[in-house]
Amino acid sequence: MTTTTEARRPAAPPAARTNKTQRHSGRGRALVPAHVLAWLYALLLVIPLYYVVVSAFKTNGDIFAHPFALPTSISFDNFSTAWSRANLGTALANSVLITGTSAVLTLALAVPAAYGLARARGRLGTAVERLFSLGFLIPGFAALVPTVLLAIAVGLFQTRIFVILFMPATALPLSVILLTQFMRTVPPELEESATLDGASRWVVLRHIYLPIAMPGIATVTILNLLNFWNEYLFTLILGGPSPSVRTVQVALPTLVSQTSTDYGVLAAGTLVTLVPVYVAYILLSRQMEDALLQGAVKS
Amino acid sequence: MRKTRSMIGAALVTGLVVPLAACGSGGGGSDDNTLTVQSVWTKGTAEGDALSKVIDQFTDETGAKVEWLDTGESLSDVYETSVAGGSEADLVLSNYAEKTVDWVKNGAVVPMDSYLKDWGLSDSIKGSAVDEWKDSDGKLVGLPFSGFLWPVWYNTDLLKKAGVDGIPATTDDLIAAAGKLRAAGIEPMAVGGNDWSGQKVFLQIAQSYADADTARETFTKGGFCAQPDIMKGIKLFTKLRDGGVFVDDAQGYSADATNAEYFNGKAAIVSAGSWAFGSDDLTPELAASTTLSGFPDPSDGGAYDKPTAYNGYTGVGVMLSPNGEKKADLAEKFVKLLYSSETVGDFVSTANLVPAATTGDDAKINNPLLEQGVNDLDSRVDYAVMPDASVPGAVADPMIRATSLAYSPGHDAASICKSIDDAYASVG
Repeated sequence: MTTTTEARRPAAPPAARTNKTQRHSGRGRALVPAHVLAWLYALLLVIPLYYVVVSAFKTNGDIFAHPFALPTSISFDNFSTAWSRANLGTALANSVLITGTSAVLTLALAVPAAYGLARARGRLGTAVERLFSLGFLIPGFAALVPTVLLAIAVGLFQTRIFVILFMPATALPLSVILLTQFMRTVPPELEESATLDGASRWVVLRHIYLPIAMPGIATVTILNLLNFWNEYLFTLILGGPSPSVRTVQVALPTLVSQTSTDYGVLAAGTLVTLVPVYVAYILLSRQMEDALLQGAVKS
Repeated sequence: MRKTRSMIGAALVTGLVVPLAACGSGGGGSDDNTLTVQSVWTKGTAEGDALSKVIDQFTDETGAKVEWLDTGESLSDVYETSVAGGSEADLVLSNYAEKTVDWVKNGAVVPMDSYLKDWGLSDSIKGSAVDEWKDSDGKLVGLPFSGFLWPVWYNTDLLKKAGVDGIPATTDDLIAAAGKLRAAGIEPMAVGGNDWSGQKVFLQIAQSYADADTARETFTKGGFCAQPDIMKGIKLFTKLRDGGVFVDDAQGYSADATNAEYFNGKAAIVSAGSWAFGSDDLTPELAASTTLSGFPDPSDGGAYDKPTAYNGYTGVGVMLSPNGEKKADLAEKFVKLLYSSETVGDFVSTANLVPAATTGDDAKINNPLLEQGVNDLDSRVDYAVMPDASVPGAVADPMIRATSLAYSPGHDAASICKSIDDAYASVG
């Protein structure tokens, strides 16, 4: 396509070509600071990751003596020690269960709610949407004590089920608001014609709204997965310390000792907990980037 | 950040939920034939491995199950919130410091005074150790199990290399030694100005001119600026700091980083507890060249005749929860097994633990530094007042932030004592 356009275009005179080259060159020079800043930013992100990776193969002595040096040998002893000491296998299973179930539950509640709000025309819809927005105003700590009391009252304190029920409650405001905005981009005419063809509300949601809002759903999913996976305070307090219930984020600090922490083992354990998050991001990143791109084009 | 969040969260839950939960909440977490043991010792550590053997033996002998919650450093936060839900562990193995100091007062654990006698352990535990576990109301918070020695370690090879003859006896000697060490490219004293370890060193120096009662009272109530002997000690601290005794940027060091400086041979002196005797990073050569002693006396005469070190029995003790009280028979069997001479001996020989139990007096010591500490330290040092039992639990964290400032150059004694007094004032 580009070639055809270029072929039809009359050749630029030499002076114009020179100007264009100068313009490109000037633009290139103008972009140098941006490139430098971008690389610096990338470096800032990579340095801590590099530090954790190399530390996972070192002893405490090496970590403190040569923090950024490459390990002198590659041994996976720190990984196996972290795995057994923190019971990471069970903890990973708990994290996957809690994170996955909570994410599914959040979508199951947020998608219909967002669909309803996106199509609502009356004041009630606006009021409900604002109600969801109010969820942002509640600080986490403010919810902690009532939540603990609630868990105790319903007899679900220090259980996985309460954590699974609690997580979606924290994620719903953002999920609903984001998905509502995505669903508003669906032309009403599509829904009207489908309805005229006899499609039910469910069919409209399933076959029209969901495919179009898929980048938004992916974005919400990945944000929720990251939040649920990394959640520490609430899972520590609401889930409790039992090795059979605790998540990786609660299990990992058991590798920390006030008097003598083995930082190589801790770094190895940290890497193990990062892998599932990284995999989830890889799987959903394309959809998330599409969503961001959509937002950029619209704006 | 995470720790701060969890501390604030736990404080919120403890402050607001525990009183409400006390009005009536669900029953205990485990059945009558299961004992839940929560410990600061975690699996895979030497102490954790020794505890694991006790648990296995207990199950073999009684048929009862043990659910082991190895919560490590988050123990107090997790335990307190579990109390709120009525699902706390039956037995808690933790140290007596900061939050645990108030646990009998706020009903998180039951007093152990009667159990000490009823379980026949009065003669099995050293009386001085029992005294350290009594709160300000005189109630026994827990049964002391392990103690600690907290000497100053001197690498005699590095001292010799720098031309320092012998262990510095006075603070002036120490400043002179620091100069020689620095000239030889060796860091003098590694100290963890960023955490609890630096706080202990600071308070050790601050009480150099104060008798034990004065130090204890000041640590308990605050008023550092108003106490002349303590102020004299703080001025001594600033003199040592400005004299180059501590590693550069000491305010950024943690306990682990401090130990690593010593273990790597970069620093010649460190203040570290007996828990570090068994460190994997401590080579036999370094252990052989290490002399355990105390922090030098002030050159103008202090409150102690000999250099000072810390010791105590607030390391780890056994606490009984309200849930555990309902299973007192089962708890008794477990605790008696824990204090048996075989078990204590195993903790001493494999985990280098300083026993609070008299049953451990004849235990075989395998670690050369523990042997040196147990056999020689008493003759070399006087023991200063250990702050943990005196500093109120709520003050501990803000106080550590205040003492961190003390290690930063430019802070004089007046500003240091003010920031510590502010820490006491901030918690009422």
